[in-house]
Amino acid sequence: MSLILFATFFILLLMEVPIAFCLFIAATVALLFGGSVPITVVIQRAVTSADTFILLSIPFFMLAGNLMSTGGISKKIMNVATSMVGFIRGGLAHVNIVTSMLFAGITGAAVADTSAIGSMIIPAMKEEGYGKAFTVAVTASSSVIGVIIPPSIPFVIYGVVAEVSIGKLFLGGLIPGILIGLSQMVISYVISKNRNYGRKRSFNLSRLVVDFRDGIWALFMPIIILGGIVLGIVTPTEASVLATLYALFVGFFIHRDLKMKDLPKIFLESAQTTAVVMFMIVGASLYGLIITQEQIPLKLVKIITSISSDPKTVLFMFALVYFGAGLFLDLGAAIILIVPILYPTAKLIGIDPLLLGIITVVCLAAGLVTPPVGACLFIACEIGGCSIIEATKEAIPFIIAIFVLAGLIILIPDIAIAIPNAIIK
Amino acid sequence: MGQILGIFKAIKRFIDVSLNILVIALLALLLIIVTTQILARYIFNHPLSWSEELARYIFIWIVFLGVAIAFRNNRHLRMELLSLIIPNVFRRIIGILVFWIINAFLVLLLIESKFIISITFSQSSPTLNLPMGFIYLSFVVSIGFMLVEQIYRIFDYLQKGRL
Repeated sequence: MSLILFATFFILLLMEVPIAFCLFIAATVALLFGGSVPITVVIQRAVTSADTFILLSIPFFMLAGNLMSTGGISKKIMNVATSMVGFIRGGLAHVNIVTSMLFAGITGAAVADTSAIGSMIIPAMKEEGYGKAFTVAVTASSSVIGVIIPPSIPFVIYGVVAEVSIGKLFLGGLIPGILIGLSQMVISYVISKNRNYGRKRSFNLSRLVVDFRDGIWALFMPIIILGGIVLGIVTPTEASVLATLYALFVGFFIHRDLKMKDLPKIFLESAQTTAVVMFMIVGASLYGLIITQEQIPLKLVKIITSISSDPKTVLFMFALVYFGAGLFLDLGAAIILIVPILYPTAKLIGIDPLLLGIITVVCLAAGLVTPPVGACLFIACEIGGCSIIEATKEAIPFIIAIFVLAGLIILIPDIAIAIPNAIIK
Repeated sequence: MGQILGIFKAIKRFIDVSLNILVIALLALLLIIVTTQILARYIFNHPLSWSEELARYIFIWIVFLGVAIAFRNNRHLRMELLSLIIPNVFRRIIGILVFWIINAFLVLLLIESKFIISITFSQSSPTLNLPMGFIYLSFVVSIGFMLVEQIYRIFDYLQKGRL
């Protein structure tokens, strides 16, 4: 049965059938030819697996992010970043990265960050004489921080698939996200110094205070989300709703740049993106069922332990798998397809599911910048009018840095998991 | 022929717009329900028994109606690898093949859904006592809308002579 499942799945995937349909059709075909279960199970599983309260946080995190990035908030956040780090050599590159980090606390997806930030900062960087490809590479690479720093929809998906606390995963992404941002700033500094990029700015404290006060409403949002969940006051779903209400409040009453007529479009867009992710999730539940029934994780464990049974070595192998998958698959899709296989395998070997979650999202996030399929890279290239090959060359140091960090977390897991384990019991 | 096509297109446009409005309204309703739940629990100290279940069911409807909208807009993610490599002719042949594979799948599920709907309409949900069939109906309706889209694409193809 699993042979039919995988064969059908990969053939359909290559034929460019939408991934959710690949999952559904492959599972249906596998049931038709190998199973004793009726096809109605397909519908039943699809509906029951959507019936999970935590998944409701996906549309609301999307909604909150879309509402926040529609108004002038991105501009305000960029001003804060400019007065924070604009004075360092390679100023606008740092502004780009710090804006992504601050924005990451508002949105749960990376692609939204690329377009919101990129459309402002790419023209500005080009004007100051930064190389086009470098500009695009910094924009694309830094926007992946959006899914690592909470809130993060990929962490919600992983949490649901692997049954790990979303609060812990969110907190676990915080330090890795900040470290990735810092490593990107170091790379940008070195490159800017070598190529003499950027113009001189000086640090001005009173300017920082003014910009900070102006952006305080936007900067306060991550505190609501993370604080509420971490302190155990609200569930992740309730936090996502609070974030949406907050975004509506700020947009209508504080910044007054949100209009009633914008809402239907934003709501529809959020619902549609949610549906795309959810259709893959419900499609994968059946696929996951067949994988468990056929004891594929158990077979996989045998193969893996014949190479090594050391959790760290196995995690390095998984990181390689994620790198390969990230080349061809979207982040959410990759989690939905791979985690149902790797998670039970990892559990049998004795790998902490929280650690696996962080490694999963960090490694697959790098895939958003790697061609042939890299959503963030494509969007940044489009905004910057740059060829994908040129931008990829410039993105290589940034991609390597993400994987070095993933390796570091595997060797010293406490970098990522100490905080969530200490705060959430 | 042209007149029938015109009517069909007008109906299709009506369906599309209604579907959009329905999903937007349901998402707004969902926002209100969960907000009410939070207010009831934290401000009025009176947890609601019905809100979470109702929210989940509305969410399921949003998801499956959204699936149909995303299908109409070609927004479902695919792995775009082969089209980078193979020549246009093959790409079109595969495209037609995929079109009919999806049709076959949708029709199969539509036929199968008859049973599950008839079974689940006699079951009721834990707290709201809603017939479970109403929830399963969302999936069937979604398949229906996608099939309408596919039929529309055939007409569109016949009219324009290209995909």
